[in-house]
Amino acid sequence: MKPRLPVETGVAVILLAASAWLAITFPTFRSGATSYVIIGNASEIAILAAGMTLVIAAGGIDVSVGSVLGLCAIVLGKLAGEMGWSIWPACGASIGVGVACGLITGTLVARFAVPPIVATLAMFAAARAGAYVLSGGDSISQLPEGLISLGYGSLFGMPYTAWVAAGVFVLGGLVVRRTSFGRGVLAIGGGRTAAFLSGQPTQRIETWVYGINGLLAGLAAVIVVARGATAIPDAGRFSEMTAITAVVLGGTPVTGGQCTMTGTTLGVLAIGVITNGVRAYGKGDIWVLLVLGCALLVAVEVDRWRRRERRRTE
Amino acid sequence: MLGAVEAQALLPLAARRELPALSLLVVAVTTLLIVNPAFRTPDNLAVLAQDAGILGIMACGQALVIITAGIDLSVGSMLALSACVAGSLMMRGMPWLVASLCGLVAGVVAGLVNGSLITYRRLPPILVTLATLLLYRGLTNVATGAAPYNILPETFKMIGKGTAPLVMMVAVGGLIALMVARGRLGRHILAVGGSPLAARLSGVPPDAVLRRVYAISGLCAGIAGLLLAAANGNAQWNLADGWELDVIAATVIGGVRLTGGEGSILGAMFGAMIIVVLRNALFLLGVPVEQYGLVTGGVIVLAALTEQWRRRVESRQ
Repeated sequence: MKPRLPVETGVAVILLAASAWLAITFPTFRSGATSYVIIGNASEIAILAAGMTLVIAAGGIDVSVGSVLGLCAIVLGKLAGEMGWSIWPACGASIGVGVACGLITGTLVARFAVPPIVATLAMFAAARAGAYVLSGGDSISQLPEGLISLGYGSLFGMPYTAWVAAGVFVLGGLVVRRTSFGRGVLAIGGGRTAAFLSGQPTQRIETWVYGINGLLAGLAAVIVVARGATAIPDAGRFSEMTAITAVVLGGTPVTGGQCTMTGTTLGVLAIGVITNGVRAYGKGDIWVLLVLGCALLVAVEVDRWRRRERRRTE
Repeated sequence: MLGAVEAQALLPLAARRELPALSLLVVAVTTLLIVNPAFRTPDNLAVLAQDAGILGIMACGQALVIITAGIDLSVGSMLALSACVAGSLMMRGMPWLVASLCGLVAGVVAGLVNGSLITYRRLPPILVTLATLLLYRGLTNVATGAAPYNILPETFKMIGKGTAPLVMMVAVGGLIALMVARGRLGRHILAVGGSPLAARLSGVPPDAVLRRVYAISGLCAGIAGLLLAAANGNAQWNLADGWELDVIAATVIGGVRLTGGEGSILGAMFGAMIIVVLRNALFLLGVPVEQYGLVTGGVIVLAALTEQWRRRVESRQ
């Protein structure tokens, strides 16, 4: 029997093809400095995509993370910048706001059976508006040095932020594979009624999936603020689309019940390489959309081919 | 167990699905008419009619898609595509009517591409339309070189002014509502949304129906694109960026059930009007644009909870 191709085949093909093409065309692309930049830039999307993987695995979708990120960024800016809180409590409070937002949408989805896209659409609108109400539309750039150095420091040749993202992925992978919570998430995605009947606390698990996603949006907000050295109310706009794209590109089916954290990691990296490549060609960011749209369809086709292959070997 | 159509017809008026949206709309408009003199100025009412018409037409197409248990995230991008096709042809001297028709064809083709990917390749609608949301927007930008088409014929601009978009919405929405209530395609759409398997077994071709539905959504986006370009006097690639969420919000507020099989075109139009009226009220109150989301978000939650409550009442009967 032929060995089965892993789920990540599609995204791996795209990542390798894009990297190889760019490495051949642009000598600068082969340098370590470029990978450093790509990995550093990818951290915030990586963290959002890790949470999104869980949400999609549970059969849901969360379009609110970008807005929640913006709200958390402003909370962090207000507390650390204007009210003079020290860094860690301010970060904690900002992440706490993220968790609260996530739990609100989670409650709507799990307890009141509101469709995920509707509940998160409401949070998408409300959290962004909240960020503007809190900030009055201004950005906050008077931030403590310690916070900004978090965004630029590095350890063993990788930015701090990339270490945080890597940690999130390892933890996420462990949660999905090794914990009863992770099993519950996949069970809900596979079939809510079946999960409920087999004794899973479906409401609690589903609420916390969105809570965790909010937490990660808060964490991403800390990174965005630290890297940009400003807290702007517009932070994270459109990042929900990028995060969803990364997850789908990575091979997690949007129908739920399965997921792959490795695939999502590769998806985030592929988006990073593509973005960087488009810029290397001197094209505007709109080309990124075009290439990503095509990449999404290619990844899905590769996935179909992989599954056909598997059926034949069985 | 009754079919969707019969159940809706037998429901007492109090539980009709358009009722929450309609009552909210009536209350909001009456209050504003009485309380705020700036609301009832002819200029303001014209702006309202224009915005409501454009959003409402897109909501009608989206409502059809959602009734089939799908979703169309690419409507904003299709709108820009159609508007730019029409705008560029007009700038090259083509008569505006022919150019507009070409714009509409572009919208229908874009919608058909969505529908074909969904049916022939068996891909989930949310994934396909997410990809084409990126693709169509990127394509429009690249093809136009991000140039604005802002020298448009005066007669063309008339179709976007004042009450014309609202009249257009009533016409388009009326046609689609009539089709859903009386037409064969409408019956098939409800059947496919209720259960694709049952539909297929009873002789409805689900794939052909789905392709038509996505094409209609593209057509509606195209019409809205022409109206928006005419209203702004400008067609550009970034037109209606991010509107897909507004459109979905409008259909949800209008009581279209996201799990498919049921919904109301009339409700979707009311939903669009509610969004536009609430925004206008906030604008007149001097609330900054960025803060409108707090109210929109609240209304969406309210609408979703009402729908849950309505469903519970309905299942008890």
